[in-house]
Amino acid sequence: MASQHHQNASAGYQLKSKIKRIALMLLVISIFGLMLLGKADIIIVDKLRNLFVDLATPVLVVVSKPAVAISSFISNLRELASIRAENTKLRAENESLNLVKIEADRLAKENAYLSDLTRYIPPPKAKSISTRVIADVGNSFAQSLIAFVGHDQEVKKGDVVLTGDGLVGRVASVGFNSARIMLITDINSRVPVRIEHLDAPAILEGDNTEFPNLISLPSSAKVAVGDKVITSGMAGVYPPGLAVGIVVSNTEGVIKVRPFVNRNHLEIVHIVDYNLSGLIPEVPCETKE
Amino acid sequence: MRNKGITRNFLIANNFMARFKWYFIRNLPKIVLIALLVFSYCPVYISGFSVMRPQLELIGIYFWTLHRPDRFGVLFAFSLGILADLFCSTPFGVNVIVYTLFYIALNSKNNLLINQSFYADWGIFTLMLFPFMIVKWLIISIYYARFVVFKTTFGSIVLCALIFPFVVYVSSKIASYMAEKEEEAKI
Repeated sequence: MASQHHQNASAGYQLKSKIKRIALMLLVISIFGLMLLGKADIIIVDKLRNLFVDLATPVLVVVSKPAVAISSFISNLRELASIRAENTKLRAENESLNLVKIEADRLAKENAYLSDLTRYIPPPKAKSISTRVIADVGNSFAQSLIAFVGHDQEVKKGDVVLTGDGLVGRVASVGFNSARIMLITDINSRVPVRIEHLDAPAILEGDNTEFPNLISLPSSAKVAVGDKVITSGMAGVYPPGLAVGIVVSNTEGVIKVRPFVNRNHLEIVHIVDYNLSGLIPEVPCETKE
Repeated sequence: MRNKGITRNFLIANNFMARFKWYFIRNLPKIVLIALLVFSYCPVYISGFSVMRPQLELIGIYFWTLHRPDRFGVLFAFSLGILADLFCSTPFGVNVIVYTLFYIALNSKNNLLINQSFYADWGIFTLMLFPFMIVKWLIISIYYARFVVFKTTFGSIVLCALIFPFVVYVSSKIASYMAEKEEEAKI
């Protein structure tokens, strides 16, 4: 009787462990299914991501505030330490800027006169909005930020993201109250640029490090450390002339660029809609009639 | 035995607040892990941190799988992976596979890993972290059809190993609080 009971228990245990193994296998298979879904249907995954980030936004707003406060406190302390030197520097800068302003006024008048002569139609004015960064979702495999702005503020996919220092990246996806910003350092980022003084076109390719690579340069271009890199405006994703970064190394054909924007101190960013149409729109496939 | 006591007390506690408190205490490991996930993506403003961000969730999975396996299962590890994938911009499914496999590996060797000293725990976690982060690095490299820079992944592993004691300290305090409340409920 006792041995029969023991046998039944053992059979039950074996069955349970078999079911457990099958369930685990199904789980692993479903993981690969998820990966395939992510690769095949980016729109569904994007929508899910936006929904999740939208839901998490109120928490992120609250959680990011102490970090911003600490960062501001530290930068205030640093500024206090160098306030005298900064003041002298600013005075000198102000004097030279006054001269630049006079020249700019003169050029603006001349530009208006010439535009009138040639009946030039200027491009539409860019719309911009400033917003706070509430999450930094960057790691060694992807580089992006989440900003506290969404559809309600008329932000849309492809808008250019800037700070006073230069180009940050572009809006990759937009939710109701959050927008995901793909940085120029992200592995998926490709920015058409040119070396300012050489006027040579190139592509700035992110690699998830702080220093993206410069690729597709003409073979005749002699790039040196310290050369300034700006957007070329090609492909119509970014407008021309935006400051991007500076060449920091050129070893064995690998050219590294340090972005002007300090990626580690991004608190406020400007999202600008330049009305560019270079980004491939998300449209369904056409069918033959 | 302990769970039966808890359930009985839970049924006795019939008002909403008491029930809510019960659910909260019983699900503390899950709440802590979700909080860790959200906190780990807070802006930090430290140079280099954003490209080598440590995976705090893996420390949490390690701790709770070994200390409270009754309150933390493979389905939650799977769900946490989905949440992590939705949060960051890595290819969808990568964190799911890493978290689930990490959980399965820990659970299968539970008898060996449990009741180890803190330093042994630290060492085992660091040793386990390497293959799983390399798996993640490989999957992402295959996904993008190019090798992702490895030095940042290595930096992330080192940072994760360095932060391990802090996360474990906080988690052990939470685990003690949880055990204390469950004991109170039994009485």
